[in-house]
Amino acid sequence: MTAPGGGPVLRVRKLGVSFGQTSLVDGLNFDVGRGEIVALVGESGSGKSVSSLAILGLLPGADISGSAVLHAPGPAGDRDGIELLGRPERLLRPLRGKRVSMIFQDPMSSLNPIRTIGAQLREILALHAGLDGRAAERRAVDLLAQVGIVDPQGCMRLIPQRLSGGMRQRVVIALAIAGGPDLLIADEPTTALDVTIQAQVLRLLLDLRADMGMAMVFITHNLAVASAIADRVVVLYAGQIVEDAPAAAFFAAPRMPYSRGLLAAAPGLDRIASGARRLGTLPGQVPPPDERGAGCRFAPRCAWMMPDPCARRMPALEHVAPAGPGGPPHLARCARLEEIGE
Amino acid sequence: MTGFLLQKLGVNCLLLVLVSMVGFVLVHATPGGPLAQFALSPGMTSARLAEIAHGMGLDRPLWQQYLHWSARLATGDWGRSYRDQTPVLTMIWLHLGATAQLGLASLILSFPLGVALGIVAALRAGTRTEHLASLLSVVLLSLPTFWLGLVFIYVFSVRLGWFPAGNLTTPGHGAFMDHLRHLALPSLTLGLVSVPLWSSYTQAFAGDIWRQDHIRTARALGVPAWRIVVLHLLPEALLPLIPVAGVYLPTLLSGALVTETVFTWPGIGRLLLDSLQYRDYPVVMGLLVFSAALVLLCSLVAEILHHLCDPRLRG
Ligand SMILES: Nc1ncnc2c1ncn2[C@@H]1O[C@H](COP(=O)(O)OP(=O)(O)OP(=O)(O)O)[C@@H](O)[C@H]1O
Ligand code: SF4
Ligand SMILES: [Mg+2]
Repeated sequence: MTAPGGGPVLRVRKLGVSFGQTSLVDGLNFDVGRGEIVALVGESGSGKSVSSLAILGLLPGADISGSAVLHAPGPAGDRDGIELLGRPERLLRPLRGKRVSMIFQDPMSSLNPIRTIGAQLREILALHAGLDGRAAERRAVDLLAQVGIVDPQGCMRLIPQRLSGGMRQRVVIALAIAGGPDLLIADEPTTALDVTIQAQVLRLLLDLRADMGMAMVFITHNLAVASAIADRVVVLYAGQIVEDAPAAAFFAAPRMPYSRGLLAAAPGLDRIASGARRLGTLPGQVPPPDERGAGCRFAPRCAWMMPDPCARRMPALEHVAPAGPGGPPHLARCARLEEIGE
Repeated sequence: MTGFLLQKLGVNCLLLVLVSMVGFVLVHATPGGPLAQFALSPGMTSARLAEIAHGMGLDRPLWQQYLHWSARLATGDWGRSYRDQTPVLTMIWLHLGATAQLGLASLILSFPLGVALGIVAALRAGTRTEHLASLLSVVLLSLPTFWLGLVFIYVFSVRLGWFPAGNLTTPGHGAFMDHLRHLALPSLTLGLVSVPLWSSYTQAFAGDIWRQDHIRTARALGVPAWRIVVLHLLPEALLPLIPVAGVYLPTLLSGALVTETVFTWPGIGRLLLDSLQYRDYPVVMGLLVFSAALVLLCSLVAEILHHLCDPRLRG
């Protein structure tokens, strides 16, 4: 879903993250269009969290390279974007929560345990919306109602301990949207919730996208969740993007062997089955950052692997089929795409 | 909550009785006795000594003495000093002020310093700053109080002459400023040696909180770093310090004991040492009961305070 006018909300190019000698993530390229929901999928340790934290400058001690431009200029060249990488904290901080927010997996610990929900909302509203007193109070209640809290007034006076996990994640979402960001990065926001609550929170996020036009990077282990929410799927494997495709095309016909394996291993895509919570039902393991070869990183686990070309050099992330002009591209990283076919 | 407190109060009273029994036996079992000072008087006869002992009730079996003493204690009569017949409670009261001043002044110094040091160490975990802060704590922890006190006396009093080396006031002065100047060195000594107590606990509590998701969430939502430290981290780290304070504040009394001796500060600690020397049983036992009660009271008050301050514990 690419909204008319302007470029993507976020344009990531050649993003690399390393700690000392260890490269965790390299050469990440992806765009997030206005109002678009991009699912970032991959097994544990593939670098999903590290990449998104790096984009927001929340990864102290890491060496980060490449570029991540917020509000990237579109074809019309309407305005300059904001380069996030390397931006000093002083200039980056005001963008967080206002232009781009990030939320995390565990709603039990994502809220300050000794401050009331009201206090926490008012703090963000004062920071990013310049509201205080009555106005902040009113806006906070509205926000809580917007995220589906039944008794927003009462909720304001409670500390997080009094709320269920699902309610807390709703409050976290209210905090994240309080500044009216154009982009929300959600790192497995539903993983800790049970299945019915998970579906409700996904519904809420879709509603918020419809209401606010907010784009999302939705990090998940769970392909069923991705299929329920995403417009676009980006698959990460061992610190690299291995497939980037429109959700419909991806779930109909994933092209890269790793994605195929994931999809084949995920039961019941039509419903959010608790059994499909985690990927990793694939045989074998993701190679750790310091054991990555020069060739295709999936080679040790790939059924289609041929020593030549697979192990010789790194396959490029290429267009799978010639996309029509303006049509959404479908990219995959595999040296044998043609031979394997659909 | 009320039931819990009542139960705690009951347990505390029992403990108090137990402590007083053990203390009574120990005090009376130590060699020497209050009669020693009379024995040296010229012209003292053993008949006269026995008479004095009888007058003090010292010739009765220990358990009778204990019952007699504790029964009077329960009615508020803590006995009189052997030395000058001052009522024990009056004596404690007269010395309490000096100790309280010393304790308060050292707390005002050590608490903020220790908390700040602990927070810095927690925020800078794994860096040279943390190691420096830890080193400072270890150094302060391992400094013997009497040694530090003597060094301060030597440097600031003998060499520089900035502060007096002892006593509450200079005779003839007695003004407020003079009093503060006398307070400076002892409270600095006691304050510095108690910094590591606060810093180590603060570092542990704050370190735990700093790694939690809600701190990262606050950062991801653009809350400025200073706000996160002062408004998010600090209050949460201070809460568990309340029960710690309840346990450790009374033990400052023992730190005060050494400090008061070095600086001839007329507080509770001095009173105890002097009374022990004279085998002034009523005063020694009075102080024992008093400090035990203080320990139990402090932990009880801290418990209540913690429950009142921490919204998670409120019913
Ligand atoms: N601060 C850090 N220092 C060094 N290595 C790190 C650090 N944080 C993460 N890593 C490593 O980076 C790799 C990617 O981690 P990341 O947390 O991004 O994975 P993920 O895809 O989010 O996995 P999960 O699904 O388990 O959250 C892992 O091998 C991890 O051990
Ligand atoms: S490049 Fe070779 S090893 Fe890698 S995914 Fe394609 S077929 Fe498998
Ligand atoms: Mg992660």
